[in-house]
Amino acid sequence: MEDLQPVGPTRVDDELSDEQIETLLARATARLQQNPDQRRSTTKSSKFNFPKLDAGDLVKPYIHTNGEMALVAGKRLVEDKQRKQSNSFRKVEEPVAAKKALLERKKATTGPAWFDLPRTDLTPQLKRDLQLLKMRNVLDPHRHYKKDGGKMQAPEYSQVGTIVEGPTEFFSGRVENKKRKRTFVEEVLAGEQETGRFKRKYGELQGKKTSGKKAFYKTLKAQRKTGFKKGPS
Amino acid sequence: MAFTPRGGDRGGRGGGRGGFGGDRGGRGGARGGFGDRGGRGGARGGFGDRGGRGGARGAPRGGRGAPRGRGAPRGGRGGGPGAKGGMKVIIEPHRHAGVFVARGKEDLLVTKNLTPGEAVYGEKRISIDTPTTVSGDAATNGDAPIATKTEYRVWNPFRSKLAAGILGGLEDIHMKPGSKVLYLGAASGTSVSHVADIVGPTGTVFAVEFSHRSGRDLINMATHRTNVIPIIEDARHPLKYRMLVSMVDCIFADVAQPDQARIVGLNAHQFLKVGGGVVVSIKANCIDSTAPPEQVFAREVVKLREERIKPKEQLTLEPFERDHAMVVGIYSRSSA
Repeated sequence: MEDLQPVGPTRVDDELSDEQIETLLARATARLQQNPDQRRSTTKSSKFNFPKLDAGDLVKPYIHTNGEMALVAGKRLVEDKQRKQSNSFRKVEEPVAAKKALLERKKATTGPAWFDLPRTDLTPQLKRDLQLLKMRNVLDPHRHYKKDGGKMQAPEYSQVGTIVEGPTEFFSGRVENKKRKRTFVEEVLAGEQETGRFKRKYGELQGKKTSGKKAFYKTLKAQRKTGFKKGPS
Repeated sequence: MAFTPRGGDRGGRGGGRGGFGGDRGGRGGARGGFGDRGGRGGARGGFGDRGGRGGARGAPRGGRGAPRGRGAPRGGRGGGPGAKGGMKVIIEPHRHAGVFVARGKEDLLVTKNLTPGEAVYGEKRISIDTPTTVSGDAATNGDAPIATKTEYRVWNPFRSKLAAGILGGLEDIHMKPGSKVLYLGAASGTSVSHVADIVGPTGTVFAVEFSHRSGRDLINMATHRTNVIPIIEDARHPLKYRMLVSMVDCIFADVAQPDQARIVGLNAHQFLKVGGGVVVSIKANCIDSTAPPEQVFAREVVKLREERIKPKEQLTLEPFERDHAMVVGIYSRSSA
């Protein structure tokens, strides 16, 4: 700690050892031998400096004189960036509409969570398919579904696909090419052509509902008129 | 969130269940907590192929009645499988990210095929009718547009526990596109291929299987799917494969071993991030064949708790598997 004491004639007293005095003297001589310019620069650095007279490279004015004439350099009159803008069309976007369009584009698919499943393209055929899907519980009496009532609501995102059978199911799990249909509704209608179940069911219901009603009475009256008695005999 | 497994009341909602669609989305709200929704089974109408499971899996499963005929309307192949090749279906997103539903005469759970044109284990596929998705550069540089085919693969809940769990109504499977999954007990890689479909090209599946025989099939499958890393190693020694596995978002375990909970815990401590999901399928017979299943499940859940896995939900895989439960938990390092 003693080495770091400020060195001055007033502070030097008898307590300093001879070695310390030696080092202090050596330091003082070294300082005196230093370049006088350097010493000044360290002390006078905060002094006021005059600015240089030469300003360096300045931007040239776009008017320059040639003898008596003043000439305008048209090229430098306007900045390049502004010239470029003025020479092309400027697209003005309404911020509200732009934001809306961006949102639409974003919502065209489900995004990465479902690997960009596209938005439902609700064609009339697809609408029919979805309506029939809603009522599929009537198609097969042996198959039971979870209740799915209410109006048909098209799914927001969907795709239509065709099942491809596995490699072992060529004969068991496959619809022949000629019997393939384009939509789900067509498949169901083709099945109806085969079985005739809906027609039969309709006939049964009609028979039950209309028995003993108007048509029955009409035939009865007709029989009375003609006097022809139709018996089971 | 009281954790009260009510194992006993099986078969609460019997009757016609099928065509599981409909109320997806609104499902989560009603049931919070951790109740055992035992046996929502009954006649499983419009789902899956009613032929039961085809083909054998790696693990032997002896001494069980065939699942067929327990409620299938026309039992087996007699009436033919519902979904035939050539039929039209409508693909919709499922509640879980990365999973889809194909709706037709019956509903099918499907995943988007990572390798279009290939079936992994002879499953049905669904090809999309308008397959042209033009990749970005081709449209601009004037080349012929590159048509990438879109295809989905049908996921059979009778062959995959995870599919059965999803159909049973799991709240959260902790897997989504881009996540990393450690799959313990990968077997031949049939379910793994579907998990690989779910996580997609940005995710990774580390599939661990000890048996060399089924591991061979697993490796074959992984050659076509770049996001599957097959590991033929004992899952009891996670240090053996620590150099292959990164930190994962989810661990799925279907190992069917008596010390299953310990195996899951070891792997969770080694690889699972804090807050990551643990999905465990428990087969009661494999843990303790003498105790009643509900008791076995409860004991396993306690063991999982000790491994700092906080159980969130438990459900039986009843119409699809007998005496199986699926437990989903969250790994929390500090306190369970």
